Amino acid sequence: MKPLIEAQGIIKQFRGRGRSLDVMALRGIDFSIKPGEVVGIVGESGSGKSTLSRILVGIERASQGTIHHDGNLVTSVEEWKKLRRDVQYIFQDPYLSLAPHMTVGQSIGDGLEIRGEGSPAEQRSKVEEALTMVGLKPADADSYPAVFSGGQRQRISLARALVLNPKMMICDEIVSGLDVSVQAQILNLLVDLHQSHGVGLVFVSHDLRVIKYLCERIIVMHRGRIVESNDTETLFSDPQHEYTRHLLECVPVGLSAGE
Amino acid sequence: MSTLREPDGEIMSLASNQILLSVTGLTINLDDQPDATPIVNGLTFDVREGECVGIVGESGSGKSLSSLALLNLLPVGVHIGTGSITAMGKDITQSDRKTLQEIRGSLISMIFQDPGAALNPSRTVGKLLSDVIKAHANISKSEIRHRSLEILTEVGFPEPSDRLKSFPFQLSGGLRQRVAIAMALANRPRILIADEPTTSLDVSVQKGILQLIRRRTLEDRIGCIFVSHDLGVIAEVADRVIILYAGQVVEEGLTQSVLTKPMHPYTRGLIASAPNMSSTLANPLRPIPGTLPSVGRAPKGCTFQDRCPERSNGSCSPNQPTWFNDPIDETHRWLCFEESKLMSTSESESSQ
Repeated sequence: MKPLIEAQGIIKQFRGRGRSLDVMALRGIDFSIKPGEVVGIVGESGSGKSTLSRILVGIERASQGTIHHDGNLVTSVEEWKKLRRDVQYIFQDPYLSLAPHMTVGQSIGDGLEIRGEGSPAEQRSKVEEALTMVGLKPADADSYPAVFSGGQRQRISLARALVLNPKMMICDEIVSGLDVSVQAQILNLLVDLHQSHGVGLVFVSHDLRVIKYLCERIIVMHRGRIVESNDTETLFSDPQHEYTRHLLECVPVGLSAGE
Repeated sequence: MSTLREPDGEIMSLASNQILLSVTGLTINLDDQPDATPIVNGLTFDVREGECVGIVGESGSGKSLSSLALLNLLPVGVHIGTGSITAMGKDITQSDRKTLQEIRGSLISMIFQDPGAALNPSRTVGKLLSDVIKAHANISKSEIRHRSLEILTEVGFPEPSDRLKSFPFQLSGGLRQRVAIAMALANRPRILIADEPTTSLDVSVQKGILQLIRRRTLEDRIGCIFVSHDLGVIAEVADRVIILYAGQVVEEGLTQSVLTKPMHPYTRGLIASAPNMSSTLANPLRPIPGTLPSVGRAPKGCTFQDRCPERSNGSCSPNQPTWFNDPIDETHRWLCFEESKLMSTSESESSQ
């Protein structure tokens, strides 16, 4: 199968301001994802996992390297727009990612309106459908983000992505700020969206327990490089790179594990 | 089983150790809603020398407010209603401002969640440490420097003498948290409160900080209160654990006992919804249905009644939950209704 997105030789350098030095965030990344695949990206802060995920949708532009979408090289604004029709990005902090002055329905429907898809009534019914998919009520479309909890806001962010019918969603630490019971609700929702709608996922996280639960394939990043990439089972049972082994050793196992 | 933990004999012998902190029937109320259900309701626990007590709960459960109350640091809008907090014979709730200032940072210290926000960005590491040392002791500059280097070494800070002139922004998150811990330990406190100290850190850094807190607790014989929402972290660091739900203690006991034999439906829900290294999609996470009641709206009696998956048949009378004790570990107890029902559920789960 043709990869949905393919990144080749990605290098990202952030220019230092004043006397601070330039930062090499990514030092040559090759990464591709097929339609419907669930891939996890793990690594510590500063490893470049967020930068890579942002480059994949063009929120950040690579200093060097290429992005292919459906086999076509992406360079022009039109080509990026086409890519963004297929790939939606969900941010970590649900308190920052929703506009406080827009109702939930306006936020979710914004993408449809920009693309000019359907009449206002059709847009509204799509918004309500998306809200139902993430376990919220259609009437919630008329409320403002302020009345929702963190977990509910993250559901709204998911609905905003889903309403555009994406082939893939890139989730950057989307459950990190949530309580375990809410985290479990969101994770199960993602599993359900993948299994029943075939939505692919790139799931960025520093929590190996979450990644292991959700992902089919995992790439481990360290200092701007991919140090290991394998299917989940092999990576956990037989880690090859020293850094992967170190990460695995540091996961708090808890007493309930395996009991 | 955790490698940080001491042999079982060590934990059991704690019973003979001196009680450092004693919290009895602590309630925290909202200023403007005196009649609402208290945000923290009847919290009671002791902390002994050399032991670490974990407080677990979701956001809104009152765990952070409880830890702030121990230093009388509650924010505007809430106040301590009833109950007492006794630290080494001093009642914190009755102390005046001057006494509190003497207690804070010398008898009881605190480590906060975000080391970036807890450190003054305009002070160097050396200044930050000398500030806390000078606040409680009248000693010379060279003694302060000596003490600062000593404490930085104790918390595993690499090359401390070169870093005294560093500002917080020049340090990584893990090193910042080590500075915050050094500040907390600089005056040799007897009680250390750690409120989610590793939540903002990477797993590899987290492990080092947990080992450090554990080691200082044992070596300095301090009493540690460790607040967290992560049961995996609690399992690594705490001897005993208190599970808070909507301001009420619903289960407590030795960490091993509570996490391997959870009895309260809420504790079981927390464990079933947290992914661990053996979770797979074949055995999906089971989230707790519903959401935490909003502040001051917790139901009377059993606070968990609206979300409890085990009372779907409506057989219990949630107005008067009672405490049940584990026959083997007497410190392990939980607040519920029917002992028999809980027992039978746990047996059916373990037989699967």
